[in-house]
Amino acid sequence: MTADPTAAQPHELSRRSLLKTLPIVGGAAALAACTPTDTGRRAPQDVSAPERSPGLPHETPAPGRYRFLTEEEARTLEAAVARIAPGDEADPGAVQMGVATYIDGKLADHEAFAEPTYHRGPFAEGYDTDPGEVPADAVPVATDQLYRYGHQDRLTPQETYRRGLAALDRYAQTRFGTLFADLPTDRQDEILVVLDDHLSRSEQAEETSVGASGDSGGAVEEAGGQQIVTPPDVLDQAEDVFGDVHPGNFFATLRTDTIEGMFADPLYGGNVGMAGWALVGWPAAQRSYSPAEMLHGTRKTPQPMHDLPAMNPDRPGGGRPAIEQHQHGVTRP
Amino acid sequence: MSARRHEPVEIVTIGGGMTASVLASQILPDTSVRMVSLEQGPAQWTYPDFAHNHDSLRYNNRFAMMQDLSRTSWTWRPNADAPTLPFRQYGSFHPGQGLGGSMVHWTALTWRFLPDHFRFRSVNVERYGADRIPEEMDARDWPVTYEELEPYYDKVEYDIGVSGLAGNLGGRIVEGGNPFEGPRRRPYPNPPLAPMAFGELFTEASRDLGLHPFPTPAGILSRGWTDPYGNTRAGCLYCGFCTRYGCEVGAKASPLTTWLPPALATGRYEVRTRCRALEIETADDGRATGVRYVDARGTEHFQPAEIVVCAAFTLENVRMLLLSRGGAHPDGIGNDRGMVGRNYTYQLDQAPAKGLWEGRKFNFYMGNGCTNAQVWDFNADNFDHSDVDFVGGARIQCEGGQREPISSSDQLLDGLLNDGARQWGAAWKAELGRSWDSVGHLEIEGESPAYHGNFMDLDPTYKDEWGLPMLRITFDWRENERNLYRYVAARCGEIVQAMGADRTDVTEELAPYRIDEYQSTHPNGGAIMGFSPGDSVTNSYGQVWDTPNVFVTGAALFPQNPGANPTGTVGALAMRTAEAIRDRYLAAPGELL
Ligand code: SF4
Repeated sequence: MTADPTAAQPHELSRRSLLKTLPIVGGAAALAACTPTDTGRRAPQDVSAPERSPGLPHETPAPGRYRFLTEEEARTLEAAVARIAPGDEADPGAVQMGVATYIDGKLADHEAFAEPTYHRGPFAEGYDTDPGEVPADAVPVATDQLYRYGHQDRLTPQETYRRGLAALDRYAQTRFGTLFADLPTDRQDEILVVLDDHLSRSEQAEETSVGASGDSGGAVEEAGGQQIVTPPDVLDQAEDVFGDVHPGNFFATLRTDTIEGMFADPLYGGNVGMAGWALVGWPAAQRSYSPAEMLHGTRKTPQPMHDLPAMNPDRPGGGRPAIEQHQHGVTRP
Repeated sequence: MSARRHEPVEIVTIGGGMTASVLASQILPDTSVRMVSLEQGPAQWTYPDFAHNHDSLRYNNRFAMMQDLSRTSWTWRPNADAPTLPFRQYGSFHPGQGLGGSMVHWTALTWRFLPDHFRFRSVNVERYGADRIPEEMDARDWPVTYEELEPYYDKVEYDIGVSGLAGNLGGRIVEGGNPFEGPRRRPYPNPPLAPMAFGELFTEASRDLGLHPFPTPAGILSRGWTDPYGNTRAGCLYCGFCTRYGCEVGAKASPLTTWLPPALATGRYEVRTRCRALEIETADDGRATGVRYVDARGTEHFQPAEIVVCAAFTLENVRMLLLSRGGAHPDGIGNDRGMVGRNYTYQLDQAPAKGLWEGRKFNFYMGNGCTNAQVWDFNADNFDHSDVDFVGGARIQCEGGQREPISSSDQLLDGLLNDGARQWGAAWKAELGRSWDSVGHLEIEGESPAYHGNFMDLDPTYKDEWGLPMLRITFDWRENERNLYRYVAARCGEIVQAMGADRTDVTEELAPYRIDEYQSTHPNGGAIMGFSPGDSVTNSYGQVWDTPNVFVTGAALFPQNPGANPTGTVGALAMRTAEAIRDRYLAAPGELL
C-alpha cells in the first residue's frame, strides 16, 4: 500500500488524452505532479483533491509506533477500546484492528481538529441552578440543555485525550485502587458503563430528566437513549474525578474514534487487514454496482482505497470535455 | 481602505454555486453581458478532483466538501431568552464550498413543490378555517403559483436530466408515479434509477396499505444523456459514495456538469475562487455599486457592477444583506422594514422508524440517496386534516443506499439490541457484524412553517476570521411540528410492521431541536419573497424591494418550507429570475413587475 496518491495507477492515468489545461491548484505536491512528459502530454495529476482539507495522513501510521501518545497513554487507550469492540485473533476487535494506532495518527496529524471546527471563544459553561456560578468569560447554559448545542469543548482532541486518559486512570484508582489497564475486564466495563450513563444523563433534557436514573426498571427510553443504571451520586463522583474533561463526552469520543479506526481505510492506520470491513461485510470502495447487484448482492471483495483505479475522463460518446476538467474563466486571485 | 478596484461588469454574484451558474448560462450566451462570481472555496472539477474520492472518512465524516468552520460558522439558540453558542462542528446542516457549491455534494432529490404549497395559507383557511392556523405561525401564500413556475421546473429537469416517473401528465394520473404532484407538460427526461431491495419491500408493503409509492425523482442520470447545452454525461454507476462527494463520472448533476460549461464558453464569465465577500457597497442614493471582498492572501478587492446577486447559501445571503449597511441602509440592504432574517424555516427531517430483518441483506452500501421509493400520501394537504391537530404534512421514504460503516454504526442498533445491551461491547459488536446490512430506516421530511419566534440576525458576540459578526439563528420546533411528527411517525410504524421486520423501533415523539445531529441542509427563508415591500424582502423575482439592483437567489426566498427538498424550486426560481434580468431588466433597469 502506498501513502502517496500521486503514485497510484500511472498506467491507467497516462492513457488520458483530453487533458489540455493545467488546473490552478495549490500545494507543491500537486504542482510537482503536473510536469509535461516527453510525449507532450501531461503527467498524472494529483487526484486527491489537494486543495480540500482535511487531507490524507502525513504518513501511514505504523502499528505500535506512537507519534502523539506516550506508552502509558497508549496502554490505557488500548485497554479502553478493547472493551468497546472486544476481539481476539479469530474475531478481530479494536486492538487487533489497530484502533489505538489510528487514534494516535489522528491526534498527531491534527494539532487542532481533524474536522472543520470553530474554536473561538467565548466557550460554554454548564450550571445547575444559578447562571451566576459560571465564570464571567464563559456563556452560562443550563446543564440539561447543553447537549443540544453539540460540541462546545474548550479542549482540543490532543488535550482531551491527554487529560481524559489520565482521568480514566485516576477514576480507576478511586474506584478500584489500580490503573485502568490493570483492572479485570468486568471492572473496566463497570467504569465504562458509568461514563456511558453520564453521557445519557447529559442528553436527557427536562421531560425525561434524571428522575429515571437509579431505577433500572423504570428508566424511560427516549429517542433511542438507553437505560441509566448508575446512581446519580456515582455519576457526580465521576464528574468530580474527571475535572475539566466531561466523562460522558470523553466516552463518546472514544467510541466514535474506535468506530473510525475500525472502518476507515487502512491508510489511516486502523482497520488492519481490512478486518473492520470483513466484520460488517462491506466491499468498501468500489467503482460501480449493477442494478442486479443492488437487488441480489455482489461478490466483490474489499480492497484498500488506492488499489482502486482513479476514474479517468476517457469515455465514449464524444461530447465536450468541458464538463470534466478545468475551464478558462475560473481563477484564483 | 485601499481595495484593488476591478473593471466594472454588469453582474457580480456572491457565491459561485448553483444559482450563479444558472444565471450565467441563461443570461450570457445571447447578450454581451460580463459576469463575475466570487466563490469562497477552491476550484474543483470532475477530473481530477473527484477521480479518487471514495474515502468515507475524509468526505463523509470529516466533511472535506463543506465550508471551513474554523474560519466562519453560525450561532444558534432555541429561543430569544436562551443562551447562544456557535455551531462548532458539523451537525444539523452541511453547506458546501468550492466551485459549484452545495449542489456538487447534494443527494439530488429533485422535486417540484405542489400547487397547494404555493397557496399554503389560502388552502388551510379555505378548507379548515382561519383558526386552524396557530397564532404563533406566519403562514403565507407565495407570490408565484405552481402554474407560473411549471415551465421553469420543466427547464431545470431537462437541463439536469432528471430520472423519474411522472405521476401527473397534463392532468392525467399515471400509474406508478406520484399521483399528488401538479400537472407536468411532459415526462421526466430519463427513466427512474434502478431500485434497491429495501425499496422493493417498501413499495410492496405501502401499496398493500393502500398508499401510493413511487420511485424518487433524481438529479442523477439513469442512463447516458446529452443535455441541451451539448454536455455528454454518463449514467450512474450506483457506486455508493454520493451525498457529500462529488460524482466521479458526472452522473449526478451539478453546475460543473451542466451550466458552467456554456457559461464559461462565452469568455465573459469569470469565477474567482478563494474569495470571500465582505460587503455590498452602496451609493448615496441607496443603489448597490458592487462587492468588496478579500482573496486567499488577504488582499481586499472591489468589483463594481450594475447588478449584485446574493447567490450564496441561504444563510450567507441573509448575512450579506445584514452586513451591508451603507448610508441609505442603516440596518442592511432590504431591511428598511425589518424583514431580513424573518421567516427562518428548516425541515422536519427525521427517521422515526427502523426495523431489523434477521439474516436478510439489503446491499445498503450500493446505490445512492435516490435509489429508493416513497409515498406522498401524508404530505401537504394530500390527506384530510379535519380531524388532526396540525397543518401540513411530510413525505415518507424508505432508506436508500450509500451506507458506509463509520457514520452508520454509531446509531444503527439503537433500540434494537436485546435485554438493554449497550451500544458497545461484545454483544454490540457481534450484532453489528451480523446485522449491519439488515437494519433499514423509514425517514420523513416534513413541512417547516414560519413562526414569529424563529428568525436570524447578526450575532452580537461571535465573529468570523475577518472580524465580521456571524449569523445567529433562533429556532426550535413548535407544537405544530410535534403533532405532525407524532402522526407521521405512527404511519411509519405501520409501514415498517407491514414490511415484516423481525425487530422494530419507533420513536414516537419529536425531541427538541439540537444542532449536532444532521437533519438536512435545508435552512430556508430570511430574505423571503412576497407581494409588497411591507411583507417581505423581495418580489417574486428575488429583486430586493428597497434596492432594486440587488437580487437574492436560492431558498432564502421561501416564505415557509414544504416537505420536499428545495433544489428543484431553487433552480426554477433562478431560471425565472435569469429570464427577467436578460429580457427586461437589462433593457430597462428598475423594478420588475
Ligand atoms: S452513486 Fe451514481 S451519481 Fe452518485 S456518485 Fe456514484 S456514480 Fe455518481
